[in-house]
Amino acid sequence: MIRALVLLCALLVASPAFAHKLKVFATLTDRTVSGYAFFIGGGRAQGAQWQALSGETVLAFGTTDDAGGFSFAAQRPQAPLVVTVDTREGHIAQAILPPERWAQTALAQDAQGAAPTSTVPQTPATPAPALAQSLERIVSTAVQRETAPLLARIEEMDARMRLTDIISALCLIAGLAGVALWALQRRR
Amino acid sequence: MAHIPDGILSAPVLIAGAVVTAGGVALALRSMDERAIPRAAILAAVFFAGSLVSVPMGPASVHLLFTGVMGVLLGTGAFAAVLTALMLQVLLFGVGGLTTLGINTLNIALPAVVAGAIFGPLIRSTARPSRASGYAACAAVLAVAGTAGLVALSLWLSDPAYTPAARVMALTYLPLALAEAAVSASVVGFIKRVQPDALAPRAQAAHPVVTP
Repeated sequence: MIRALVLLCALLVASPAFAHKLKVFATLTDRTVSGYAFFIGGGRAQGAQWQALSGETVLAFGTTDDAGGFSFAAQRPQAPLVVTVDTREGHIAQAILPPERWAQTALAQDAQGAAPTSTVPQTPATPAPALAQSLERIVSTAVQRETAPLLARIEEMDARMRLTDIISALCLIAGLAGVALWALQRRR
Repeated sequence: MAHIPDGILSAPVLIAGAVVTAGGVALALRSMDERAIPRAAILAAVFFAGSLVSVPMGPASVHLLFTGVMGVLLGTGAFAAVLTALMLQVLLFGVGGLTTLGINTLNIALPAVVAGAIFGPLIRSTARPSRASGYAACAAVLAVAGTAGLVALSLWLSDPAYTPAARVMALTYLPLALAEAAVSASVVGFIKRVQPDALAPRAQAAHPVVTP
């Protein structure tokens, strides 16, 4: 009995895992959709099947790598792009990228092509609105690249469980039992 | 695993699961008395807390269910305990889904009740704790296998594309079944030694001990 309890405690302590929900994070950079599948606080879904659908059209599919990641190139879809990860044992999760995201990326990529490659000041003939637009696109690209890891981090933190919630749930169960006992007594 | 999220299963599967679970819960509530309610609450709390601690395993992650013990100790009361725990997991953490609450409860509670109905009388009738532990281990394995089968069936009936792969199921549910068997055997063996009467779902349902 003691050995079993020690084993159980060791399992609980050794595992950083908390909870059991599969989530998918997906982002778009340079017309490439990339992301990963993870269990909330419990590591990545390695070798899981994934599929990217836009409406009924399959755009890409494969299995996740050792870090639970996936990546594929995709042009702007007509319908929202849905990345579904299926661990093939009951865990299925999706991430959705709306077509509007491609518009921002296209603007950013156009900006890269249109960005000045020389440090020589532009001629006064360059119209000011065009320069401002180019600058905006460059900033957009940089921001998209820099915020991708932050978005991933927020996704993971947003799904994290809190000790107070767990304690609340246990107290709720105790409270429900109390209510049930009270109702039983009143019935008699 | 057993927490199927919203948007995956078909309407007939969801409705059938909800209806059967409603029947199971009604049966559970009807049979529960002052002795059963605190027991169900304790096991619901154990199931809830245990489900929150998972171990990554290949493409999936697994956690203990304690369904073998629940089936033996609660009988049909397992439906109420599982429903309560799953509902709190959905509302507080978003694990599983509201529309799948019925089918998820069914997938977990029904095998527990069946395992308890088969192995419960054997556990209660034997006088040897070691034999009771063995029966409890069998009950745990049966409950886990039943849950795996029902989850696979739910997914297959909804969309054959989501049919779980046998290799992945074996990879995840086999270690889980073994861990469940070890835990259930320890728990039941301990209770058999210190308070054998506690192994009966209802006080009057206790079987007479037969000396081997």
